Amino acid sequence: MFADDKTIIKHFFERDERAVSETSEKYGTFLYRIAEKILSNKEDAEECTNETYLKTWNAIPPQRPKVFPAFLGTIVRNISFDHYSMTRAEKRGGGVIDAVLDELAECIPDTKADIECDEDELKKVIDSFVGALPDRNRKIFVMRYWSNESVSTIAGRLKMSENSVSAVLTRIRKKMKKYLAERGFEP
Amino acid sequence: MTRENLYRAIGKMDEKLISDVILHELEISGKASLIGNPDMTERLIDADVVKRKNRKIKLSFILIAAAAAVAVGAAILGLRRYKDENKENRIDNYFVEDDNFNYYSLSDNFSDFAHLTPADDGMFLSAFYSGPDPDEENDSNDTGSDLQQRGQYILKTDNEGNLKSEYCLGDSRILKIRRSGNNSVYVLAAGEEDGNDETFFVLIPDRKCRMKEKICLDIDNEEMMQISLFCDFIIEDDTVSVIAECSQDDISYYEIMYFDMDGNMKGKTEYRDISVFKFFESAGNIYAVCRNSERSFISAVDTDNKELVEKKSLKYNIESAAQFSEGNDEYDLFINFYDGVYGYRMSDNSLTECVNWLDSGIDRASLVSFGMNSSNRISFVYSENYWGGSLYNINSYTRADDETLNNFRNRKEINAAFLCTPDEEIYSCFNDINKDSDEYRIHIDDYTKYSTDDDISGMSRLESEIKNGNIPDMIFAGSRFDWLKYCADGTLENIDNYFGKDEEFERDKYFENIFDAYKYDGIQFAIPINFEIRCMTSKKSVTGDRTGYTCEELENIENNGNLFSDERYESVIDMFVSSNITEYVDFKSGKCDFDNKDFITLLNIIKRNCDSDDINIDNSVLETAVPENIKLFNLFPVCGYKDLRISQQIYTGEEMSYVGYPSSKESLPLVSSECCIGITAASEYKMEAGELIEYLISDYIQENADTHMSGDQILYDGAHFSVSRAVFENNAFRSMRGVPSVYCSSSGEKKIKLNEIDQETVDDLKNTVNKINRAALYDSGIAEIISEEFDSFIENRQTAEETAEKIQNKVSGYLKKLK
Repeated sequence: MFADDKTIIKHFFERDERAVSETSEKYGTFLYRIAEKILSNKEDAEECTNETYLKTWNAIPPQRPKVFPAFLGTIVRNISFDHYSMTRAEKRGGGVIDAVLDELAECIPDTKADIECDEDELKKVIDSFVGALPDRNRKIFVMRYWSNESVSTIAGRLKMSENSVSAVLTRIRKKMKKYLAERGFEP
Repeated sequence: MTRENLYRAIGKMDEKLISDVILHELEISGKASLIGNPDMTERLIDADVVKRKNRKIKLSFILIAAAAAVAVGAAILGLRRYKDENKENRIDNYFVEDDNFNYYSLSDNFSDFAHLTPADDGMFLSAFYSGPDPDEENDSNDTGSDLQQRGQYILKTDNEGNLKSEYCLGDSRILKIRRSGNNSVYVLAAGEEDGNDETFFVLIPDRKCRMKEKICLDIDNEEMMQISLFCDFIIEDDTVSVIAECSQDDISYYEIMYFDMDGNMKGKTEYRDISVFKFFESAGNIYAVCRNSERSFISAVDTDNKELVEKKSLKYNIESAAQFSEGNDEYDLFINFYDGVYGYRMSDNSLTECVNWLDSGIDRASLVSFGMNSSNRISFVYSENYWGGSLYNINSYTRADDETLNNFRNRKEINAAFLCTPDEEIYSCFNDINKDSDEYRIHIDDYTKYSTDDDISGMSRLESEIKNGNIPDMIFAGSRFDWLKYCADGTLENIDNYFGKDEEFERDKYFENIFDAYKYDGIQFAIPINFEIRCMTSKKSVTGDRTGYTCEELENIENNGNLFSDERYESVIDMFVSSNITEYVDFKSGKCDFDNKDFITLLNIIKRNCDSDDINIDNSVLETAVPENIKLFNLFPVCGYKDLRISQQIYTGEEMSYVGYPSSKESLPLVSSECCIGITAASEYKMEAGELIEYLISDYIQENADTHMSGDQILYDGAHFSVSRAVFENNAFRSMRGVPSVYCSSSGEKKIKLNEIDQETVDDLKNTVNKINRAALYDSGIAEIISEEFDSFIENRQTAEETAEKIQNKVSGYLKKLK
């Protein structure tokens, strides 16, 4: 039986080291899977998962996560992507992450704009764009671009054909490109 | 911005947006099931971005509904009977996306799909092929065909969308595709031959799309000049019949032309008083769908005598149909209304719902053409970029299986009567609810399909439904709806009891005074989801800080009919009086106030300052009337920021003021909305309806609902102002930043760049909006009385005094009858 999230977070606040082992027991596989999908490398994925526990230890307190696995997932995804960015020159090719990045490149507007872009602003725009998507499309978007799932995995989970998932993703990318352009984001 | 920036930003997305996906992932991995963890489940429910989906039924409103059921016993019983009788059939018309449909089979090679026509074993449609990709080796394509030539094609596919055959028409334009009896098609097309004038021709390909015959239609140049659109054509025995919409001297009319099989014209008939939309076949005869100014009807086409013979009258307004499609074994013709596809059968003159767009989650506004291949499959071409209008795709849906339908049947059905056409964003929000909710479904009855020239929203039909106890849960209607009558007779519920109850809802985030304008005798009978300002606009240098004029004051500044910029009598009496009914009528006490000096003065002002309907108004005069001080006031409403920019820059020429309509006092401008929502007292789902209204006015919906942009240009912002203060401010900011927008002059010759508005203009607007305390409200019965008596006054059959007296007496009688 896993400890519940409230207890784990309480342990982080109390600086009780059980917090890390409880997190690892409950969410270790989940975090490893996220890292592995980005890095396509077992050792690197394990390293990033461990680094996630450390970052979480440093982040709580002061932060108090509302949805603990989402909080952890965000950390491991960011650490893994940093790692990917540093090492991709020699390792690029073949993984889902490359396909995901290529697809995201389609969303980058080619219009001129007059608003300066920063990451916080971009995050807000993405929040509002994704928040406005129909529920099924939002799930498809998150699975593909947050969780880096393959189209076939998404199709299987949502009981859709791969063609339909691809078609939905294509439409979302087109909409997103327009949405970003309208809000002044430039390449 | 790079793709990496984007990827990182997605990684920082709000937890609320990703949490349900993560929960699902954890569940299926079996490593950490969170089910049963109430804390987490609650958070995930809260986190769901589509809040409506997880709205929990609260005991309180079940009790309220029960109490209401006792209180309005008979009406509720009527409502329940209505629902039970109709629900089953409606739910059967729920279609789901066909996972087997091979979308890419066609879209990989073709674009600009159109003219979808069903066939027994698939469909025909037109499309454009841009030619082989020069960067790729020509290994043909995965359709197995051998596409070489760029141009327009007729395609034949199977039911799964796999291309079976194609025929290239080169540069010709495909105008219509029509199915022939033997599962083949006829094609009406246009092209240029030998550099001569455009030729219209009918192609008869075989079932594999190989050209079998070509008939060049003998239409002379003069005739051709008058044709604006080919609506339809049909071939029967030895005659090709073509419906064309024509125009001559700015007057539109219809023509049916008859050709022999060599293309020689056998004759034609002009129709000036009726519109002819579509041919269809039934039991070997040809019929046409027609409409005159009063009603829609079906006529037999007599090709020998070249005339139409009326056969059946239709209860729906066929003019409000978006498209038609060929019939199948069950129905003679399919008609796409706003709420669904209806099958028409000539034998019993019946129209039956076959596909419900809303249930099926299909955004019908983007539909270009459709075909019911069988009663269980619908394919359609739709436009993905509605405002850009250039990207056309196809899709296919099949009827939902029994398990899905049963699940759907168990949901609670909220019936919404639509007497207006709301923004597509709202319609698409309903689509989402029907797709996602496990608990509710919204069913729309689109009353505009019952509209007539005198009743553009189909209000009379709703009135008779209500009288019969068929009361919807919610009413969506514009300003020309009898809101006050239905408020006074108790049909409408006080929305305050069901709206804004959620602790997250902050009423002060909205223009509360705009909401309050839709209260009568303390009852919030409707909530507008957006608004426009009804007022007289003028130069601020002329009116100063005035916000209104009495009739007497207006008469004093009048100088030889210089008040209003080219307006018609009928529209001004409607604006000042019929649509401003709370100024003159008190529904509660049943009293009215027309027979007074101010009203008499107003009638005379209108008579002196307006024109009759017969006079053609030159719109370009409107652009100069106020700027050049020829007239004092423009009378068009200010709707949205683009409209404000046009009103100020083009129609006023300098800083603009907003002035209320003249009356016995200095009245303020009014608020009006093309989409207000009311909840009926008989509804079983008042609480849910209240939550739905909250959702529709949320920033989340409002942000997208009102402004449509393309790139860095506002294409369309003429709709309305948002009732949300935040969205209102955002749009102001955009207009102040000078997001480009263009005004096309009425002559169409000039394109004028609209200037950004300044802070002072926005402050003036906000000041005006904040002061508004009344809505432009209307009552059809009173409007009819006023219009009738006003006509007599304009035609000099009675004086202003007599007119005021007659209106007073008749409206008093009308109010007494209502009580």
